[in-house]
Amino acid sequence: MATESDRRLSIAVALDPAAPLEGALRSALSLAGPSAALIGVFVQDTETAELERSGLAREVTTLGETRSIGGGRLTRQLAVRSRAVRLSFERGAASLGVQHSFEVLRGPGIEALRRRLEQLDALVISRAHRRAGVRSWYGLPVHRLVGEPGRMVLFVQEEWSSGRRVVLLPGAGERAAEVQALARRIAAAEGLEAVVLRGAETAAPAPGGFRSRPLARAMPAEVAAALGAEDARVLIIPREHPLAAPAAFAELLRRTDSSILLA
Amino acid sequence: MAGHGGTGTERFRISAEDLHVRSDLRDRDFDSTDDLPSREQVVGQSRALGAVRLAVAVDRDGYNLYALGEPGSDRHGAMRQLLEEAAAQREVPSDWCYVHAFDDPQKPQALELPAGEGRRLRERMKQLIDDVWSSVPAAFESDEYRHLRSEIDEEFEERHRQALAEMAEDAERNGLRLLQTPGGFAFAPVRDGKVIDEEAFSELPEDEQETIRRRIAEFGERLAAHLRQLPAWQRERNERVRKLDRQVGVSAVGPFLEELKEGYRALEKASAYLEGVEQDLLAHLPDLINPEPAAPFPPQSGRRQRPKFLQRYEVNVVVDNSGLDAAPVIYEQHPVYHNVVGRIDHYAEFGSLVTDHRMIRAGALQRAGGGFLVMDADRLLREPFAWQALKRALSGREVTIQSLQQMLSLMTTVTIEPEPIPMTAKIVLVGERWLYYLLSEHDPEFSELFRVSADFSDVIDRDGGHSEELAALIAGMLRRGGLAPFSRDAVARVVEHSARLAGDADKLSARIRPLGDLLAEACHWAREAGRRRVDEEDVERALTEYEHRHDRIRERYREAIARRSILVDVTGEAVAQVNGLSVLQLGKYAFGHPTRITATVRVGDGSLLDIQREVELGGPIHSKGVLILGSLLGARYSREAPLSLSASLVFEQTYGGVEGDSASVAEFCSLVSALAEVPVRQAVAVTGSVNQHGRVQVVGGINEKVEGFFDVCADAGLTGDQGVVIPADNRKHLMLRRDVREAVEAGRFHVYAVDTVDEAIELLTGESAGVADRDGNYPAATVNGRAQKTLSGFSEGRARFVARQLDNVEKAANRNGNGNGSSDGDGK
Repeated sequence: MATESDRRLSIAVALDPAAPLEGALRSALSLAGPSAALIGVFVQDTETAELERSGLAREVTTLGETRSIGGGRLTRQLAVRSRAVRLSFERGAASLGVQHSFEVLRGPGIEALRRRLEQLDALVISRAHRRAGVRSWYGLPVHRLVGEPGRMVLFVQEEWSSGRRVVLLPGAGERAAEVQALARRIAAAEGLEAVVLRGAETAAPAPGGFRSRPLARAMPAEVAAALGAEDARVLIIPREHPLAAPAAFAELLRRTDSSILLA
Repeated sequence: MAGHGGTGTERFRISAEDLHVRSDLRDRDFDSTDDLPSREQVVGQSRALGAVRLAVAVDRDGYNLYALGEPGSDRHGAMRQLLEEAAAQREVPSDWCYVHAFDDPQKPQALELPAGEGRRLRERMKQLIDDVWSSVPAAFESDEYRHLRSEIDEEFEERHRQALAEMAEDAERNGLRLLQTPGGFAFAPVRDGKVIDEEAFSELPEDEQETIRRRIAEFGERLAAHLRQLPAWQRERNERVRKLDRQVGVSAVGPFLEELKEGYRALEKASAYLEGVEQDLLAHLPDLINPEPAAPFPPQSGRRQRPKFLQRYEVNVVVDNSGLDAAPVIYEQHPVYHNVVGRIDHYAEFGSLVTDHRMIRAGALQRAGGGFLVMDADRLLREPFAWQALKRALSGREVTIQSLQQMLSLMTTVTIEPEPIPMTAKIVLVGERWLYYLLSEHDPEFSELFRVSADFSDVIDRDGGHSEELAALIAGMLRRGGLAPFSRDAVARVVEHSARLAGDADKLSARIRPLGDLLAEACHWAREAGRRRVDEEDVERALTEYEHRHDRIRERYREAIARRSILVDVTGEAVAQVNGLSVLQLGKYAFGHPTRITATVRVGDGSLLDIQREVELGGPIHSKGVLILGSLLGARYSREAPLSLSASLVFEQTYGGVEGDSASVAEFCSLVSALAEVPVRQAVAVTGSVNQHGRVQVVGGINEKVEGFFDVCADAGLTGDQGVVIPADNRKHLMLRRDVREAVEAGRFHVYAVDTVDEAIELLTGESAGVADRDGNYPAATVNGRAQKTLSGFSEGRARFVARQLDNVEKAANRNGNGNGSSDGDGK
């Protein structure tokens, strides 16, 4: 993982018309530091496009109505959304004074994102407003993104600006120090207190710059409760941590309103 | 004539002592007002004060009071003392507050609370708002709440997610994939893990294509059915969230409200209101947690902006009796509609005028509840809508605050209709008599609503201890006003002036305000003279200065007479010319002056021409007096023959209206002088009215009239012959100036009192008037005899004239009869 401050991080923001853009951009800036260059990416799912061509599928709307897919409506909708998110992204990025570019990814949904992520340092993905009553992360199965090695993925909740602390679930091994440094940097950038969640039996002093909060078990429910109690803005989990496993991570995402950075 | 100083006139002369009644206070044993007690209550108004006590004591509808009397009679002062005494016996009335009505916000609710509780409730509600504002968000940010809330959300999401996941898995097993589209979901056929396109689909066997189509349709239906039930799930979830929010809200708000409600448990309406507050607060929990900003562009202070709806819990104390220790006595000096019944203010909010219960302002009627409200009747009636509003409140027994703008449709903004407050104030109107009688006559509701009238007399008897009481009142006024003490003679002079103001030596004026002015001005002149105590000469100075300030017009009159611009002789004699006396009232100041009255006579048909009336300068009473003269002349001098007189009377050089009959004696004397051709002494002026029998009757302004003629004579030089004839019944009204009294004392001026016109004739002509015999004939050598003779001659002359006329008519008829050759045999 590249965290050197002199290197410009390559960070993409997955753009979703239903997700708040400002939180995603601000969190990306916080992650990238002052020399950020943001790439706005919009996925045009080719599988969805196939639907239209097959002439078989019928769309079931979130209101429970069924309608045919055809006549180029889906394609037009995707194009319109693409233009809309581009415009919003460019305006937002310009207002924050950050370098930016925009890409449309075509491919089978998550696969397209996953492929692009291989060339990046980090992907920022916002939680959309509830779609059909379910929290939606780009309408994609989150665990497939979580499973990617070596890249950071930041799942931003609806309100990035709320919350008063940066919370770290500490990892082990040589990356532990890097993740700590990352947590400290984000806390400094956001002007927040840094807190580390540690087992109650841990006797060692908390890492420098962190306040320690005891955690009974590193399970989604307990961690979510601790995040609520700390009013956490973001939780940073090292990729090696057991909670970074796709199923546990997905559950944790459902349980908390804090953003989560998989580092 | 026997000469004015002769025995003939002596019997009519009034001595100098009888021209003025000195105050017996001069003989009392006190040195100054420092030795007198202070009196606050008005003097000699027992009738009025009894009425006030009755109105105050009777606690029934309609027992409101109208205090009638002349301005300056200190009705307000008398009222104040009695009302404050009565108020002190009453309990402090309730406070009244306006609060938000939760069931109908357009109709704010009126809350009655024990005195002092209104302010307390207001403070406690303010505290409650602060507490709620800080505690409710804290409760909803707690770990416990977050946990419980996420459990509900999680459960709902899990149900939905699970259903979608099961459907997706089932679809995969049936060769379909569940895909998300921009508008929802869709199922697509899959082969080898990939969605197949149209071309691949068409290569499938026909029956397989049909199977796929059927499955897609079936799954579509299943998914649609699932999605259609989502709103019901959502409602269920929302209900559970609401229930949780309510529980948390109750735990956050409950302790504060319970404590508050406990304090008002005994007050049913207040208790119900607080219940309403609790329910409303709980219903508005979301607004407390995620408030809508009070303004569309809230200041970027970083602080949470209180939501606007919290304002509805503020308590508007419109009647705050916390500072009272008795019932209120309110004096509304400016009784405009809004000041009487209250008003509804508005405030601007983004270009619109809005209002709510906090903008209600009480009027005097609400503030005086349980006590007394005193208003000036004249001012009240002059203010548009105020009188009607007062009557509405009295007859409806409640005070309704209604915006005038709304009533008159001058403003189209939404307003409110505050709940009426019971009308419990007793109303006291202070006004003049004419207004009282006008209202009684023309407003049928007035007598019902104001059943008690307190009639404050303009004058009071001088005896019966009233002089002493007035002296004590003066002492009190001086002390209350921080004025210097008055010597005994100064007080006596003030009391004598009061009698002069009353226009009656036996009375005192009940008008306290002019006396108050006199006291202040006399104090001023005493200070100017370097005296610490006010003496009689200071009072005299104050009176003189007062007169000087007001007598510009009088001086002009005197000057005009002195320069012969107005012809009035005060020496010599003239036939058919008498000096009458008039009073001119200019605002608060009145003065008398002589007016030459002349008469002319000739043969006529008994008509008496009143020139003043003919030119519409004579009032009806004056005309009545002149008509009486005609009757008197006929009855005295021409009982057995028609009054063959044509006479005219005129007030010379008067250019304004003349009213009153006080010149009728002078007019009669002028006519008699003309008929008898007897000259009248111009040194004597006369005033008095006369009836049909020749009896002289009292007139008003007697002091001003005597002094007016005295001044003119003094300007010309007092000769010792000059004087004024007044009705004998006016003796008791004499309170003449010192200089007049001194002149009379010295024999340089005279005041005569007469009972009959004959006496007046004798005084004016110096000759015997004469007494009629049984047949009504007067001795020929007397004035009346000569007048009778003239009138008799007029009758004879008239008879001759008529005979000549008849003769001429007959002759003419005969000529006409011969001329046209016809004859009816009558010949007339």
